[in-house]
Amino acid sequence: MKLLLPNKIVKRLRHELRGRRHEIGGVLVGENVGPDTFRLIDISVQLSGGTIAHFVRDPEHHREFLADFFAHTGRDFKRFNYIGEWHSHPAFEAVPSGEDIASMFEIIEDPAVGVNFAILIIARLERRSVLQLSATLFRAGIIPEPIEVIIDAKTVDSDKASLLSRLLDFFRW
Amino acid sequence: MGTRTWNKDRATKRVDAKIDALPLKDIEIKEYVRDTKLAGIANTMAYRVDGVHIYADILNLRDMLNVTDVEGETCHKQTLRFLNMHYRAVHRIIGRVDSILVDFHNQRLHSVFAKPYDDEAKRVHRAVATGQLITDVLARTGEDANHPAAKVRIGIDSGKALAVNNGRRGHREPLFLGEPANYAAKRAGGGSATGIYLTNKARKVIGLAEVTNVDATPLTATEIETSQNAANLGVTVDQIVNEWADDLKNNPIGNFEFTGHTPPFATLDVEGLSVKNSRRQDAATVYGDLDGFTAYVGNNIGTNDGAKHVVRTLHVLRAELDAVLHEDFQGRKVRFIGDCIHGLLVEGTAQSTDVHETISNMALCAGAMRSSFDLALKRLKDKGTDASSLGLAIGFEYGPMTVTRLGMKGELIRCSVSRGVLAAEHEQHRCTGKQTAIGKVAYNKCTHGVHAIFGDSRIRSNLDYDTAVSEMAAKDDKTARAAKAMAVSTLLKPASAAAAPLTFPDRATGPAKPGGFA
Repeated sequence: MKLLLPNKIVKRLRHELRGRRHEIGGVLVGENVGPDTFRLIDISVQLSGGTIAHFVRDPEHHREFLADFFAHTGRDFKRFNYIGEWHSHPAFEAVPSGEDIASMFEIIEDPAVGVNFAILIIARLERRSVLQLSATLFRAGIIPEPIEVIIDAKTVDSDKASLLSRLLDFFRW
Repeated sequence: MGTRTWNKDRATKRVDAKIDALPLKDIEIKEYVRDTKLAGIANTMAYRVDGVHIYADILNLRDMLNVTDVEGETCHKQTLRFLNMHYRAVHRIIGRVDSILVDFHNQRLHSVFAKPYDDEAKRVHRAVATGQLITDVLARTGEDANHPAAKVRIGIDSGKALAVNNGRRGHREPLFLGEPANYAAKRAGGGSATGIYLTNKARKVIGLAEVTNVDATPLTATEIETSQNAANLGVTVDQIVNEWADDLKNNPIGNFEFTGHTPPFATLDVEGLSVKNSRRQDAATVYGDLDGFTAYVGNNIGTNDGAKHVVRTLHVLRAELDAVLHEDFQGRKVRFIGDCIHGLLVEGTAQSTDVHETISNMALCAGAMRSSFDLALKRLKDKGTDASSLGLAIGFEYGPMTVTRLGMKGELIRCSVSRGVLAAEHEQHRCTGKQTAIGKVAYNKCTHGVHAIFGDSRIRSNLDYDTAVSEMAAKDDKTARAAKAMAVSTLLKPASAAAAPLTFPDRATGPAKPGGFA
């Protein structure tokens, strides 16, 4: 699997993680842009519910974020949908813990969630600005595997786009 | 935080490799003869040593740890300084009376008199005289009001024991297995009164009458004086105290400086610790003791074949218990104490211990130790070594822990002492060879899952890894849940086996219930 990661999300993660000693996290939404290739579109951010070594993602906290996302993408679920979870490891290396793995398997095996795969991103900020990321793919009955992450050049450009084009982007949502 | 798990296949490979590295044909049993060097014995070697074993227990260590209501840095610093001063004094004594220093373990010293080689009575007299010398010296090596004089209880026995290698790298001192070492330790730990206590066997050797209760019958002043005259140690209390004071002046102990170690303890280099580089943080500590080992040694030490099986059993079981603690659960062995392993385990950060995670992992680790122990006994039996009479008694506790090294420069000895360490040892002592016990502090701070497996008696029989995981996970213990997920993950198919393309379903998806991450 390939994951295209827009630079604006890298910047957003860096911004959210700065100065935080407790774990934070949220859900990920993405776009299917080709065979086994997805682009991360946005992340939700839950600043509560974390300790230095633990984070509990509350679905209520992200319900509105998902509803807005589905509305803005025209409810084209096969192309735009929930794609997984993220959280920070301020005190540990950015790799999944056993509890992370257990929780991800619960998500992909839960019929109420209704996905056949999900990704987990773990982020850590080192020396206040160096962002460490791991991205792992989870599928039912399959060993979790690392994901090839590509910083999305298009969105790098879009970060440098004019105010007008950014405004257009805004209204397109 | 990575998940700590035990896996039967992994343990089987380790145990088999260890057994195969110790083929019976390669193990040599030799008689200890004049001036045999007992330091750095090979793993495939053991010496049968006829000697007198002396244990010296400082009875008021617990008082030192309880000088303050809160077990803070102050009480730990005072206790470690107290021990360090006494280690130095006793080390000086052992060097002057020509006995073998076996081990200091916190408040307990073990030493062996193998000389004179052909005179058992003289050896016992030397041990008694040395016991009195230790008692008199330690009564004077308290430094100030914060360091009271040590109250000492001495235990002595005589007979044949098996000397084997006690560790790797820096820990090459011998370990003595068998009844005299065990019985001397039991006399030293047999009560709260000071004095010198001999087994009836040792009493008979020097012409004393047998007594009904050896733990309640210390030697009289006259009996001690008789031994002092017979031993003629050639060193006085004043000499030792003066030398000790000079050494303290020339090589001051300095102030203990503590930092927390960034978990896990598996990455802690204990050999790099010193007074100024000590560790202190909330953690779990465990004692795992081979139950019935003294009797097993006693039954097998008489023949070379039997002794070879003893050597093999000891090395295989200790190595596997260490591997479970260190490799599987990322803890750290402080030391082996005879047939017992003492270790530490922590999760969280250097500044903030994750209490639930630490205690739950300790409970899983204790279960894993028993699973590995049972597995190792089976594999040993399959390969010709029957040690099925042995059991494993496990006790653990949680609280502020210290780790450092004390004693003489160049010969520093690992030390981890705290109320929790003493409590873990106490918990282990109340177990049979099939039981595991949790200390009061850990029990009060643990998850519902850990609570449930131990119950109000805080003790559980036959607690192996699978039992601990399944029962704790059933009570929603997140550590056990994670361990269970990792166990299941070994049954998963490799990613290359999956051909189905990744797609989104044609409906809105998203998490339906809270998700816990760590």
